[in-house]
Amino acid sequence: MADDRLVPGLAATGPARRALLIASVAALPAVLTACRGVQALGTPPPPPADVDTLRNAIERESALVASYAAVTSSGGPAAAGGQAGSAGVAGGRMAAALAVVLADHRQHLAQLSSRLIEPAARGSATPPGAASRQRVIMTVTRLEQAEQAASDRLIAQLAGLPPTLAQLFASIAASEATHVPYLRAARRGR
Amino acid sequence: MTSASGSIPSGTADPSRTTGAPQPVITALQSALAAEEAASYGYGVVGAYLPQGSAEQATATTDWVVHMRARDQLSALITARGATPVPAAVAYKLPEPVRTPAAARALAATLEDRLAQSYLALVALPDPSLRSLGARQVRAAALRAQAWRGSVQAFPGLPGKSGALGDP
Repeated sequence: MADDRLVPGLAATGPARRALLIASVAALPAVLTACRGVQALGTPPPPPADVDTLRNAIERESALVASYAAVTSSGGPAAAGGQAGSAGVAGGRMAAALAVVLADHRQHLAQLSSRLIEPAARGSATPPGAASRQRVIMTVTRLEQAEQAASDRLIAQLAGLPPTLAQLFASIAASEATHVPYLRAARRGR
Repeated sequence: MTSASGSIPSGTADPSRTTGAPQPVITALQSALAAEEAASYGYGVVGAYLPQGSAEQATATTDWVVHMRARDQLSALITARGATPVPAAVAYKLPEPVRTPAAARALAATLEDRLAQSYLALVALPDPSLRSLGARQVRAAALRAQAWRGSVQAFPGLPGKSGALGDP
């Protein structure tokens, strides 16, 4: 049964990273009504709580990227987890869906990372999630649960964030929620 | 009745009559309301071009009801802040003509994309309850868009980041 196929994943717990401030002016195109343009240039660095929230979001996104990267590089869940009889059309469909979701997460990670400005002198030698990786076995259903949990967590953390960062969190939360039915459909061969 | 008409809004609204609440709050709520009004109209078209009695048509009806409830909720939020909800247009110009089930599905997805954009403006507001409402509605719209389109987007509601259907 496709639900029970085991796939390898990576549980990434990166080292504690030092962050100085959120690049609150970065990245988002100034299209939304709340955008204040140049006024934002005068914004002081946000309080440390925001930095911690962003850093945690980056590390969790890194872990998701690592999980999907491991699955896709191993040839897909069918190849990796036994249950070879369920490979074939459904397996190919699932591999394609996993690659799409991985691409989404890489974009999420890039956008989140662009909001964090770190000192070049320290901590920069270690990319997020590169250390203390531990091989774990994940089912596709567990990936779906991880997506839902990630979405819920981002929405729960919105209060107090700078506006454009809150919007980025909300958009990523929406994207990750849509991965759940998307993966489920692939799992069921639809 | 005068024949007012509008086009499907794309995430922004004119500032309108007000207020007791800060203008950005009313503007964002009116923008979301306009998108919900457009969706309520648009889903009528969507349902009409899906196969009669199909599961898809039932889904369109369900989504239509969801949008009418959201419209009522937004109207109440605007009224509670001392402003007047901008009434719906009598008719809306659709982004593309709808003649087939495929075009109906594409329209539903486009309506949801635009709702996600409008609700994302609420997320930029400092009020935690409006921010949370906005985020949950962005997610709900993205889920409905995914269901209609069958594909996913990396950044629902953020124009220029994920090639949302209907954007130039």
